[in-house]
Formats: sequence, C-alpha cells, structure tokens
Amino acid sequence: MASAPNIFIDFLTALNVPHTDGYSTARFGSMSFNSLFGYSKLLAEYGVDSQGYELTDINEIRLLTPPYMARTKKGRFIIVLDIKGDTVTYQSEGSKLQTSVGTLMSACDGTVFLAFPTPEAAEPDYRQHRRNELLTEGKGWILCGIALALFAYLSITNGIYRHWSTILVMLIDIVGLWLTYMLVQKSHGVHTRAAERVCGVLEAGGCDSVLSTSAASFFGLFGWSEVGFAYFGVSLIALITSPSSWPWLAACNVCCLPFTFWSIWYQKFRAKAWCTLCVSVQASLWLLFFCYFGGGWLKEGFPPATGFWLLGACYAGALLLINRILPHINFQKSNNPDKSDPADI
Amino acid sequence: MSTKVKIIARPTLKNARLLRPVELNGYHFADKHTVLTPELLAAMGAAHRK
Repeated sequence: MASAPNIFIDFLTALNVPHTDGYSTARFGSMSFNSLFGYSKLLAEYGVDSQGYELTDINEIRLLTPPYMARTKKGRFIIVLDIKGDTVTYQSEGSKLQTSVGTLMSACDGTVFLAFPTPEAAEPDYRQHRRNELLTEGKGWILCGIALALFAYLSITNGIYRHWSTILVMLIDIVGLWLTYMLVQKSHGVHTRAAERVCGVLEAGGCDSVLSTSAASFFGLFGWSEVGFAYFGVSLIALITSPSSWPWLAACNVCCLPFTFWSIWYQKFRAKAWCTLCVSVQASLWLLFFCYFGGGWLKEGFPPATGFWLLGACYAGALLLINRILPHINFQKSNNPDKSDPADI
Repeated sequence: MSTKVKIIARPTLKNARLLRPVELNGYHFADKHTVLTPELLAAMGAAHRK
C-alpha cells in the first residue's frame, strides 16, 4: 500500500535507490534528529553519502547535478530533478512541477543538499522488505478478487440482471458508495486528486466549506458522510443478497428524499457554498427513486412490513459500526493537492 | 527497480561552503504539506526582493 508522499521516498526514487515505501517511510518518521543531519545519517544506512552546501553565489546552482534538494526561503525543501535550459523540473510533496531557473534561484536561500549514492546503494534488507511488500499487495489483490467474484455470483444468482431497474440501482449504489467514501475521507482530512476533481465541478473548495460547517454532522454524533456510506453499503449488500428486500429498499429510499431538500437548501442559503460530492449524493438518491418507481418496487414497499424495519435496523447497525471503527483508523492526512495556501508554507 | 542507481558527480564550486554536521542539524523538516507550486516559489522570491 503506497504511503503518503514524503521527501525521503521521493529523493530515493529520484536517485533510483532501491527501497520500499513502508520501511523507508517508517525510518524517515523515526529519525533520531528531524534535521538534515539525521537525514544524512539515514541516507548513510542506504549506502548514500551526502553533503550540504551553502551557495554564496546562487548562480552556482546550475553547476549541480540533479537530483538534489534545495531549501526555499520559507524553510521548506524541494527536490530539483532536472534542469534543461531555463526550465527546472522539481518535486514538492510528491507533485512534479516545472518553473524557470530564475524563479528557483530567487526562491531558494542558497542551501542545497546533495547525495552521492554508491552503485550498490539500497535500503537495508531490501530484498526481504520487497518480498514482504509484494506478498502484502498480493493478499490485497486476492481479497479484491474474492470480493468481486462473490459480488458477481450473488448478482447473477439473485437475478439483478433480469430487470433494468435493478441493474441501474446496483450501479447507482456503487457510485453512491464511492462518493460517500470520498466524503468520509475528506471529513477526516484526507484529500485525494479524484475527490478534488469532483469537488471542483460546481465550486472549487465548496466541499471543504460545507464539510467544515456544523451541519456536516447530525448533532455531532454522526457525520452525514458516514450515514451516506452506511446507506449505500447496506443497500448494495441487501440488493445483491436478498431479492425479497427490494421493495423495502425502495421504501427506505423514499424516507431519505426529504433529506435531499434540506441539504440543497442548506448549501444554497446557509453555507452559501456548493459541495459537489454532497449534491451528487442527493442526485443519486433521486436517481434511485426513479429506478425503484420505474421498476414497480415502490408499490410493493408500502405499507412497510417486518422486512422494512429489519432493513432499517441493518442501516442503523452499519452506521453505528462505522462510527465506532472510524476513530481507530489512521487516516493519512494530506493537504489538498490542488490548493496551495500561501499562508501555510 | 530495474534502473541503475544514479551516480552524482561531486561539484567543484568556487562560491560555496560545506555545511558542518552541527549546521546540518539546524535545518529541520517542516510538518507542512502544501505543494510549493511555481506561483508560490515566485511569490517567495518577490517577497524577499521587497
């Protein structure tokens, strides 16, 4: 599993020094000295000699062989990857960018850090760590494969494919699950490119604005993103495992619709910002309604019977379980990759 | 990784000073993760010129 970007991993990658994300990230995070001194000691463990220089004439930066690290006037480091003519390719927080040599020279304070790896440089016990990493990845792929196979088997044996409405409901549930998963991530400080691209459709930064309001949670007990994640997760599982639950799924969907009006009203008149992910979830709920209505499931769902209440209990149980588990998950918080706050550099 | 380790030539610099270990220990890694875009770098340079 890829760790969040860090300058150590990026630098090793730029130097083509064999390493694994997990071990190297852990070593970087546990350096005895969180400084260039500690960093140089860490690099020495990998067979990489290093040296820091203070350039009194910043123009000499052109004489250095990339990749190397350069310190900016705000104390942050970037990795200079390549200089061709007047164009510098550099890396900052995992993102590869380009600027002019002039901009680089004006932004840097003259402190550079160079690494000189030996041809045999590598992470200590690299082969063993790499094997373990591959085995862990393999376990993940096998788990995904089993889940997909089960999903396909249940969908086919329970006749999802037999009617257009159930096929569409399944697809919308999957999309809804993905949207609410991104909302859960954002509400826990994890920003991904996929989420930022979706959020930028209606209003850049709108998702963050709405999620930071008090209305993003139900009286502080549950985040609405968790509610949505539980809803779409349970709905999808019920759909593919229990055809008898389809009318109750339709009935529960109708119960969710008033929430969509409140959400849109709140975004327009109170938050005065549009959360694209939230609006997309509301749209998904309405699309589900039309599918259930078009498929004739709604009339079988009223009046609600035991199955309806049982399904409701499943929703509540899933929500409580998610709410209980989430605080124990170590979300790798990250800054918004497409939002650069000049006040936070 | 199948690519070879990059061999970096030690530079010959006329206007540079080697940093001693105690000086290296004075440069810390900030716990900030804002991507330093070209615009931010330019702003840093412009702010310093003022």
